Amino acid sequence: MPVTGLFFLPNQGADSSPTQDVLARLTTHYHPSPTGPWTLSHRLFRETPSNATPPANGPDRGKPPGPRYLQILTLSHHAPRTYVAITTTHAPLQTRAGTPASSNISAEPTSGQPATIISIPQGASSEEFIQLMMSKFGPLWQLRQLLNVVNGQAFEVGDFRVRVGEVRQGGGGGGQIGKGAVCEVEWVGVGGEEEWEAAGPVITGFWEVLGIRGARRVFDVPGSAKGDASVRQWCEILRVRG
Amino acid sequence: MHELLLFGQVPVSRHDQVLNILAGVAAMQPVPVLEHHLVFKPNRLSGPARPVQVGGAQDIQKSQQALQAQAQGDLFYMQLVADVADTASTAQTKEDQNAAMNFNEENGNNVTEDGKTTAHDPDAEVRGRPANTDKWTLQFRDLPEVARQRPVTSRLIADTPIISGNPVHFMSALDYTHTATYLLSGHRFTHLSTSLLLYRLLLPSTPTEQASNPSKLNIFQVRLLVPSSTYILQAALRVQDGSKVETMTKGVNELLSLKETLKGVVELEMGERLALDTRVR
Repeated sequence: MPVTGLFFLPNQGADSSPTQDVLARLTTHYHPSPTGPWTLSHRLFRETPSNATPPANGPDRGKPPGPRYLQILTLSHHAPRTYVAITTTHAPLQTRAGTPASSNISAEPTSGQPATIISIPQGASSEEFIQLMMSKFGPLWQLRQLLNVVNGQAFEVGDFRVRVGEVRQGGGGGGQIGKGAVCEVEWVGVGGEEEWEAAGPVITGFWEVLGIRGARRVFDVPGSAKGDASVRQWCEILRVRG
Repeated sequence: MHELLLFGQVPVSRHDQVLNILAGVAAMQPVPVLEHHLVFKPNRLSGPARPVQVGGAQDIQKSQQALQAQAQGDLFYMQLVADVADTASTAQTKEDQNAAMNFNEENGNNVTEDGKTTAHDPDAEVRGRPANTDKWTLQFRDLPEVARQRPVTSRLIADTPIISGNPVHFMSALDYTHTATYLLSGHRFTHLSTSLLLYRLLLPSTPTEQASNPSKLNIFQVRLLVPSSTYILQAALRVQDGSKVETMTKGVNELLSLKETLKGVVELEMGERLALDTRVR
């Protein structure tokens, strides 16, 4: 089973183009062979506020629950599925440095329990489901953010598959705001679940050769052992933007 | 997607006769249907979450009002439906059927304590069928529209098949609780664009088992919902876009001509709107 790691580079200013930067460094340090385009679309719904009490037992005892999110993710390389994930988070002030959360920025809510993920057929069914969420589920979930990856390009570098793309926040009409570049590094190793621990340094090593600073790295997300690890990483990294 | 519906009642004494007549009208053999329905109710109580704030700038009040207006919408019951007809008809023994209805974690694999997955249950594979064969669909049905011009029941529907993942966990993550289980047992015909379903509802008779694992079902211990065993005939026609008046009118006309055809056999009428209400009250 391939192991993936995700890196996100936020836009540093009006002129920065982290996507071009990553692509340039990739061609400099490695010999990538292009394998075609890829796309991503992501919708983030946030739970409508209500009076919630902290859970009484378990590892989250006493912490006020952070907002819950519903994420609908479509990846072209996971076709023909669309993933629907529900994540619970802690409120930001309660996070400790030791949690397996990936966030380096302390103001962001981090994942508590492993996310619950199902997949539905991509296409008409997923469109219908999204319409349903937006029109009939207003009292429970409200659409917060719409993200797309444009100009996504995939490459093969030896044992690795690298996908680079520019993240744009979609809105109404044609206005799209660039948010940064995202890069998925997939190591097609030979092992099964056990390879996960060993693969972390391998992927980090691959990234460090490129010598890019300021990237946010997502690798170990709660619930990775349950499967769909790549999807969980995407949900984690796309959740805290904006 | 919109659905146009007409309903009729068939007493048990006439069931076989009606089945034969429908087979003639639809020009096909009846297809047996057995569906496992799980009903879920949202935990959230509908109504404003926060008390209305007095004062504040105009902008803040407007955005808060918009938020609250959205937050005060209706909440709906949802259903998870699985088609269990295949597993029920091909299974040989009671154990097989129980295994087929089981919804284990990780799509049939056994998850041990350290989180690693082991192989499929070897017995299940010997029987020739993986342990989990249920395909669940998330069903949403809206309140039917007010019967102004159309003499049929018309409502918005959404069916989302779930390919992977555990639907029962998903519903509880969505903050829904399982409230009821029932089985829909009957036969299906297709005539032009209409789907005819002649069915009756069955309830499980072991309530204690249902609480812990709602998706498990023992179909040998069921009882009838309606003791007189009256069947319901449902004629349903789906329209992709409910806002296109032409297509909706075509659908209505097809249903009405079916009603004419079956006059004297089964009286097809509109459903009672509030009886089909899925809102939480």
